[in-house]
Amino acid sequence: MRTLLSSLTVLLAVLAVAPRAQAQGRTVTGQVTAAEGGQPVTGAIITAVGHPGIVSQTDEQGKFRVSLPAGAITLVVRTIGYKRQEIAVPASQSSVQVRLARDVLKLQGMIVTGQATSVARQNIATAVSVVQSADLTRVPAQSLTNALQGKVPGAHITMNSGAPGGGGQIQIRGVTSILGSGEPLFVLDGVIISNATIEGGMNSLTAASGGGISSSEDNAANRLADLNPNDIASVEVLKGAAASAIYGEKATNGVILITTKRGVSGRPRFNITQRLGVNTPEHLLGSRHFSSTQELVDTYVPPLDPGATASDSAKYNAAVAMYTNAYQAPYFDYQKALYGQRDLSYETDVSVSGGTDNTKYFVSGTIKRDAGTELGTGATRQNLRVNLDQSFGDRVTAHVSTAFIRDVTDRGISNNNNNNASPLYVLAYTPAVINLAARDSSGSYPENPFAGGGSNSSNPFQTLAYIKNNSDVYRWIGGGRLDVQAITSDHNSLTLSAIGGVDWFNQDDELYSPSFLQFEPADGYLGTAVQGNADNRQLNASLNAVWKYSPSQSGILGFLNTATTSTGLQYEETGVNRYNLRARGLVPGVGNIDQGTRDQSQTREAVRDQAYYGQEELLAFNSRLFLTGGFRAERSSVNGDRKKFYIFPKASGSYRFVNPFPGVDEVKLRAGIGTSGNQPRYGDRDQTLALAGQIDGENALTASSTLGNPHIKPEKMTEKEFGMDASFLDQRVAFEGTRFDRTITDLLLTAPLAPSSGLGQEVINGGEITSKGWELALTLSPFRGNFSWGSHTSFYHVQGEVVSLPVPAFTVPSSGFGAAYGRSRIAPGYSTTAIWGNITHPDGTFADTVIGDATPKFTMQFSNIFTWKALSLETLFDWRHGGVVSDLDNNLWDEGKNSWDYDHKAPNGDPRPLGEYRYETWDGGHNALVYVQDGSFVKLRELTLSYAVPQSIVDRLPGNIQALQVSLTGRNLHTWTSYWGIDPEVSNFGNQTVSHIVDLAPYPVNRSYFLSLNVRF
Amino acid sequence: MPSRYTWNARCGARHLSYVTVVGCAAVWVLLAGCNSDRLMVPDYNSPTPGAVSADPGALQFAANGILIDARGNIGGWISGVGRLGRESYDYMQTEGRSTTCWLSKPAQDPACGAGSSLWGGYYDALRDIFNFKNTVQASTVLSDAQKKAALGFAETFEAYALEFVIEGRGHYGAPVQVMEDPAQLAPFVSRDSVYSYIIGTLNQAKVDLQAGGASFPFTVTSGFDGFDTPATFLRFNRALAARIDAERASLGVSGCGAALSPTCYQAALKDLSESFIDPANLALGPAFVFSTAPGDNQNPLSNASNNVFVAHPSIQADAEQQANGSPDQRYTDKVYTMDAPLGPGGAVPGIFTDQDFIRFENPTDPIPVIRSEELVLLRSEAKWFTGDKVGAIADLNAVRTVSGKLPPSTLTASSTNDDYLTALLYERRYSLLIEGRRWVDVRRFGMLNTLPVDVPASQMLYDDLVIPEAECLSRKGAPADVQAPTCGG
Repeated sequence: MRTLLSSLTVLLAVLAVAPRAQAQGRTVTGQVTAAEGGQPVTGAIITAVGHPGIVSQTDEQGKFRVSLPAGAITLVVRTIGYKRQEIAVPASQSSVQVRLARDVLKLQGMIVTGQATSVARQNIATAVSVVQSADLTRVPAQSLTNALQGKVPGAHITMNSGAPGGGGQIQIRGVTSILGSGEPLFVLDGVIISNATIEGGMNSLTAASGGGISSSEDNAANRLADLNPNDIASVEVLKGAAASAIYGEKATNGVILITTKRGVSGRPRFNITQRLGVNTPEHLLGSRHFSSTQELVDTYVPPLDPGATASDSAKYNAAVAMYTNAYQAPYFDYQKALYGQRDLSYETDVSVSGGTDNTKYFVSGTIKRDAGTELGTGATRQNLRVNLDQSFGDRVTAHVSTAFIRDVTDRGISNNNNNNASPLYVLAYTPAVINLAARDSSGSYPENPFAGGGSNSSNPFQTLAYIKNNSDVYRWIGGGRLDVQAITSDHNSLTLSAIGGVDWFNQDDELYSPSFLQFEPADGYLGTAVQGNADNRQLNASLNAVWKYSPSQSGILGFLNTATTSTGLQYEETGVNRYNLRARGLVPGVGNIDQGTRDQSQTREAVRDQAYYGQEELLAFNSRLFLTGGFRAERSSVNGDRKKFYIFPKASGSYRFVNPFPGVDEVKLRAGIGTSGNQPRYGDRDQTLALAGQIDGENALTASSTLGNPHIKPEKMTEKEFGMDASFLDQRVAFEGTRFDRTITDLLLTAPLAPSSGLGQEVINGGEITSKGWELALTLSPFRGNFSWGSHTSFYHVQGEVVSLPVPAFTVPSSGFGAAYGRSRIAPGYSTTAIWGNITHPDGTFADTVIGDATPKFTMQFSNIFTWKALSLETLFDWRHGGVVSDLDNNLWDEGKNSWDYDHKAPNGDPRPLGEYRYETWDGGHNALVYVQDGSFVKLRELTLSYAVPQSIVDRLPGNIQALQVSLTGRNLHTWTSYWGIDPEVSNFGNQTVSHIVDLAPYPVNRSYFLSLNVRF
Repeated sequence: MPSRYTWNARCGARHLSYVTVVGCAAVWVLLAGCNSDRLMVPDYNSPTPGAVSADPGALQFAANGILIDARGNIGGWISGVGRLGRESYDYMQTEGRSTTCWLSKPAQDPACGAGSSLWGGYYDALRDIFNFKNTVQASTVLSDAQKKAALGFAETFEAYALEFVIEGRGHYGAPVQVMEDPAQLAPFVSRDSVYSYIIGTLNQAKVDLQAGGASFPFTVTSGFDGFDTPATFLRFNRALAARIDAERASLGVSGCGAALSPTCYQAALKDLSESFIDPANLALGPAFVFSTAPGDNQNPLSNASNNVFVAHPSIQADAEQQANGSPDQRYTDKVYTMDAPLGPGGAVPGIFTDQDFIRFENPTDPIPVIRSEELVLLRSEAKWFTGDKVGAIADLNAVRTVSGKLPPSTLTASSTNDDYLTALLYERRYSLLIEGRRWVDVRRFGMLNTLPVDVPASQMLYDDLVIPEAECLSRKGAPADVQAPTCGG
């Protein structure tokens, strides 16, 4: 990495001293207005054909000023939402008026097609979702993942919990792997960035997954949360292999290309947004009310048998006395208090952009504080970004993007546990009859006598008052791109681009639980401290050549508009070093890991990839026909054969029928086919030995029980995609439909070996799964004027299947808690996300079988924008139909005889109270369907009411204020669902490749309200 | 950084055209990123065999691995066949299967047939021995003598692992090979072939140890003090050979003639003469050591580690009396009577016992591998069946009167073989209590039916351990020569 940086420095230094070649000519001014209505168009980009260094932008009055070389020139004016226009400016002309037609469907936005190429959306032959800046930042979100919810058809985007600092996952077009990665590839301005999840060590407190220091049940945030949505100009989601094949072995789960904002020449333009708001829990579980001591005793103390022994009687009397003495009142609302932190959340975002003809800058700074609802939790993120664009004469432009991030979170404690330390878990067994929040005169919290009492139990008020579960991330993402216009002529252009960047972060985790906490003795040690550190580095560099050939319209190739040939080579590297140090049995009062009995763990990984690619794009017949073909050849250090290149080809085509019938603007038919891969995991190829412990004070080495496979290769996905896009009535109605059909072979699997081999299992490639589905969208913009209404409805359905499996059917690790509660199993002939669990048959026998599917039958999103003059109202509803959830919340609360609806009437005239009826019907896990529940919901994800202060008032404001907007926003305002637990979208096991269905004492999901003020000057 | 100067020199630092700059960048990317050597990333988390064989000190870790494997298997064997031989129970109150799977379930119950856990561990050990031998043979730093010494060490433990495999499954045979490709199945061979392989391996180890010079190229754990050079380790090797030859003789495997015929007992006598047999020091012998240090293991059978590992009540009832009326000293030394009897728990069929072992009281007490006491009894057995009945009675009494403090045996040179075997099995039972021999002994002399069945209605006696379900599944549909017996087609 150091070598790369120093080389880049040298390169930039050389460029800086290079002779300037640009001939300064003349200045042209102009104004850009909307064809409909005539209002000025702000932020339109002005470029000059054949002069890549020339860029300008319109101001709030739609005016611009651009320096041009002498002679006639063609200007291109474009902005999202309007149709692009070319204006010929003769040598003598010095001012122009441009009127842009609306492009409601944004069909002229450019879509990335390769490492260094793009094409207009109207031509693109694959389904690509684009989310624009305004849609990401309208309603403040914990993280980018959160902000994308409901906006990407073809993806399931879920938040694992409501803990401040984010943590969620994006699954595009279904399950593509079982043991490999299930995460999309994230590329920020050409830099491949990490979305790693680093667990901080909460398992040391909860023992959720046994004695390890950390586990997947730690509710850690994935690092996508570090990005600043305010900096983002657009997010493009390449879903299918025909679009993403150019990313090779990392593309199976889709590629998310994030482009940040950049400066344009002109005076400095400031954009300041201040938001203030508050988070509240969207849904809590409540608990049972006990009207009297007697009711409490009757519930929890089993009656004494007539023939009881003296010792039985003594135990009975002690239990009665315990409950009687503990009882204080029918009900204390523990959860309202525990999740009752209402500290102010805020976000301040300041950006300034501007520049000269040769140098443009975009600088932004954001500080965001998200107060958590759980006592003592919160997250603070600071982002600083500098994006610079520099032209060196006519032919060379350099683009540099850097972001510095600090992300500090305190996420408290939540999720599964095995020692009643997790608040919602222990409360399930704690009747709310005692004021656990009241400290005594010495400041001590009362001991929770319930849920086992003593060190088997905890008082969550005490726990949250004293524990620390912090992570502190420093991150730097820097990228650069150098474009050289090597050849420019009427018919040919050759652009050489060097693109590269580095993503580095260091995450420091600190966990401390002092020795006096009630649950602390449970593991045999008083007090726990963990220090964790993860150092993650990613680097990628590519060299690209793009030759664009535009044949003479009169020649033999006149039917061809352009032929774009691109080729390049790439290098990518990832390295991570994680270690945790834990100390238990701490001396009182100190969280220093030197002060206890220590253990530790370390994992290091390094992956390096090399690739070549080639791509041909043909635009022909008056831009009606678009054909693409390409391949990527990639080899990687994680493959068995490190020298072998795996080839990932792709091809796609689209044809536009323009005005085929009256009222029909355009119909585009498109089809694509492509292959992409998913890399083996680090170490899958290595046959290793393992430390087998000590004998007589010396370490011993034995064979690892899992045998690496020196022939392991990437998983391979082949995907066919067909689609039709149509727009009607001058873009008032538009339809998009896509069918995808993916087949994944050479899956990474572990195959059991004969025990007589002396080894346990072997990593292999094999089997086949499929994922097929539909993505449909309907866009309406029936009213455009003083009152306008825009509506976007999307529909997504996906179904996966295990076609063949060369190993016995198996349970997916970390997918649930066994047949009693439902979990994922991979079995041939069944859905990849089938949930298996016990069902009791009428004859009383029970069997482990398919009881549901984690994947919803469909999801739909309804987005509507109403504007009337300066007022606008925007809503986003998200509907999920089907998809089961393993509702451990309900199971725990029924088992604790403490559910809020425990005393409600049971169905079918059953005399038992509802909670008892549910728990006994579950029958110790022989009838899993009681707690494997339907996760359907409709959520009001986002609601915004905004008011743009009219220009006449703005003009009278002091200073140079150009625009002022006030908005009131809400997120997750309401959920309509019959689901019992906290939320059907949460995941106890964090991000999972196959399915994540476990709702188990999570950090409750947030509802947030924000007031935002945006000023531009 | 020289590379930077090289780069500048190659591309020239001044007056560059942009194309040249990009060209140089291309060269840089090609040089830095596109050489496949860059992809040779090591495994940072676990050692690879290649890395280990390149490190001369690593042989020590691998040797420790062989010992840790052998140690790891011994507790489960003693506890498991202790139940089958009606020596012990594992009365875990919350896990009825620790009783039912060993005493009540049909032998081939796929869920928990007896001894399904006493299989893979021995092959894990064989895999590590296989890797160890390969490492030794490929070594460029070991002398020939050191290689021989290391091979002799590994071969001895190879035979030791296979001993348990075949002692448990005499009617089925077993695979004896570990294949280079673990996906390739090794054939099941007959009991007699397994015994031949074991004795052949021990004899090869003897040859190698004799050529092994003065010391091993690694240190052996403290439990092997006195057996930690090739010459002294050979005495341990010969002790194992004596045990195997006596078993072969008593079973009448091919090459040994009919059961109890002298051929292999003669071999056993020769083995014993080369072993560490010492009637004056019956406790002598190597042992597996334990510790409470982090990362180490504690004695899994100690009272501290396992308080539900209790003794069969017949051990108290069957103990003979010393002249002073107190029970056999071996009973007193190894067993005590608990305050309250312990049963199998819940509805699990079984009887209560108030007998518990104090053989391994502390978690750091070592478990013997093979002791002089066993060797003296093996010599008695071999002498009896090779015609030296007086010598046999003398050896028997050397143990009986010293270890058990009992009056001399009433056997005479004219006693029948049956009388002798009854007497021998009594001495072996109490001398080798919870050393994993009882069930093997009654079977090799065809006296399984002398064992008590506590609950005749629901318990049974086992002649073999099960072939585990996982082994059956991985051989399902395989060619006939590699299919496992009792697994079905």
